[in-house]
Amino acid sequence: MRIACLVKPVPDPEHYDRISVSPNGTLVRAGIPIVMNPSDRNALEEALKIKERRGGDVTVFSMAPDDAEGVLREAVAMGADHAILLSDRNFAGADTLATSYVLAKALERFGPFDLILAGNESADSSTSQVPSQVGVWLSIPALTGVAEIEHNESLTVRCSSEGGRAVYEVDLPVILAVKRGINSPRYTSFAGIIRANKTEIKIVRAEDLGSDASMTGLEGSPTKTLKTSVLDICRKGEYVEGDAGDIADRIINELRKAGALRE
Amino acid sequence: MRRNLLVFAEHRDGKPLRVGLEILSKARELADERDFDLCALILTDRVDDAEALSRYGADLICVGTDESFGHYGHGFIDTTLDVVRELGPYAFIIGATALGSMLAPEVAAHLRTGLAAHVIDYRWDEDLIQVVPSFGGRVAAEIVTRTTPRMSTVKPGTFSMIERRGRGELKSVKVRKPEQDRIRFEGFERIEPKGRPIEDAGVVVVGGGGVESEKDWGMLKELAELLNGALGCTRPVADRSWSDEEHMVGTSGKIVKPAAYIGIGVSGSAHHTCGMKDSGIVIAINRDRNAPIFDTADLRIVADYRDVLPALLTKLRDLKKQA
Repeated sequence: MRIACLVKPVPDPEHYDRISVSPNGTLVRAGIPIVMNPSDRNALEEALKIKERRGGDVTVFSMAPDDAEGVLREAVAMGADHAILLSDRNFAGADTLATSYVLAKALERFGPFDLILAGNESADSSTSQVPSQVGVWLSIPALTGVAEIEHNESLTVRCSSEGGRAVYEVDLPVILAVKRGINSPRYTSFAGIIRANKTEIKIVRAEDLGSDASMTGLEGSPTKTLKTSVLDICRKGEYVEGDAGDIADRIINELRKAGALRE
Repeated sequence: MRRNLLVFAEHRDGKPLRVGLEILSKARELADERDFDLCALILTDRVDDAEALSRYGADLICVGTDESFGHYGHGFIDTTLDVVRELGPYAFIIGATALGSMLAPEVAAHLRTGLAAHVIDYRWDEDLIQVVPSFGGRVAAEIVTRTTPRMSTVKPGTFSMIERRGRGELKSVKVRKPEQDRIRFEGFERIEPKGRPIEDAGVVVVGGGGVESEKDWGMLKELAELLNGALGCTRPVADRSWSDEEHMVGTSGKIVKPAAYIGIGVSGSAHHTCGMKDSGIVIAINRDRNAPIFDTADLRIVADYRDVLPALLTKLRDLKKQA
């Protein structure tokens, strides 16, 4: 079983309240560390579990600048066999369509894979679009919101839906986008870290992929961001401290004023 | 065909989901400003009253019914692509439900067009401006799409339902379904929700990672009940078993706008505040004076919830007895 796992390095979601926008309109996120996108960690865990049961190998792919190598090394330390970083100046500024095109090109180039796993959404842009769109480029089916993968003769996949879970039987190859609740990702082991330091992170450029420049990066992106701004959601608040009974009275008063207390 | 906007109106058990009506309401405003038609697309196994969409502004209602449309499958994609190619809409908007979130990116990729995710506002400028949240709602980005149709998704609860008459012409859609789908629906497993839904509640109590035990969670439950409200949670709690993602408030959860929001032990990450910022009064209880949630709160209670809640519960119980 050849398994691919798509991983996105993102600014650590714990620190998004530190993001600001400079006067010329660019995002300032200095000092926020780059980490593996949380649900991608679950996708990798699921890939490793399937590999352990069924044999095969796991290759992680990431489209990111060269400095994202650390995230791929961490994936190897968790247990991935191969890591491929798709990094090229021409890939920069890509929206989901252009990103999925590059990832699909790489999956073709280093494939074929029986199963492709990805996190359901990224913490930074949260679009949940890339896995399905990779599926379209590769002409393979995709399911998102995956909460459980059962691997018997075929693949039984449970997808979160309003009010429950939809159960699907799927043929391979398939691409699945998994939710965070699907498993608890393992930690990196000491042996894993040693191995990761010895493993080559393969850096692949546009020319190695044979990607069409008009389909990648800013040029290949049908959407264009005109302007970004920090959403001001601050209120004029009042601090309250002191006796619990007084605080309780105050809360009840405020709820009454807001018409939220049915008496 | 007149220039038009198209909205996917998802149906369940014969009825339209609210999100489709919310989007139609907003799209009607956008259509009026440019003198466009507003079209709706229904693909479902059963529809009780397709024409009802005209109450929310639909001029043309395209209906495709087939038993295979009771659940997601590739027939949705193929049929939707046919409709889009025929109508040639300027923009195509889909609700970000489980089904919509699978359908939208597939359709956009087939059409090689752009897809803005979880739009929080639309505006006409030279082109259609789509405002989307990023970094968990900390940042708003204005996006234009250079290809047609301009596709986007909208989360439930983003826009208000407004009744406005549209012409309401009906048109049937030729249903396409693959002979053999590589994903086969096997069934639906209902999951009992852990408590009342938070979307429509007048009061939403939210417990965050600062709530220390399941016993304490019981206090929050009682508070929500005494206030006839619902109990929601943030990511750290959804990851425990006390609550679930159906009750999670924020970017990857639900958007709520209750008359009163009470956050208990909620730190206030951007991912959460994005989903509650439009609430009426916001009350936050947190021991840490510097917790970011306080920036978004009207009443900033710097205290241990384990002191405040017992007092509050006693008073509310008394009030209830008097009533």
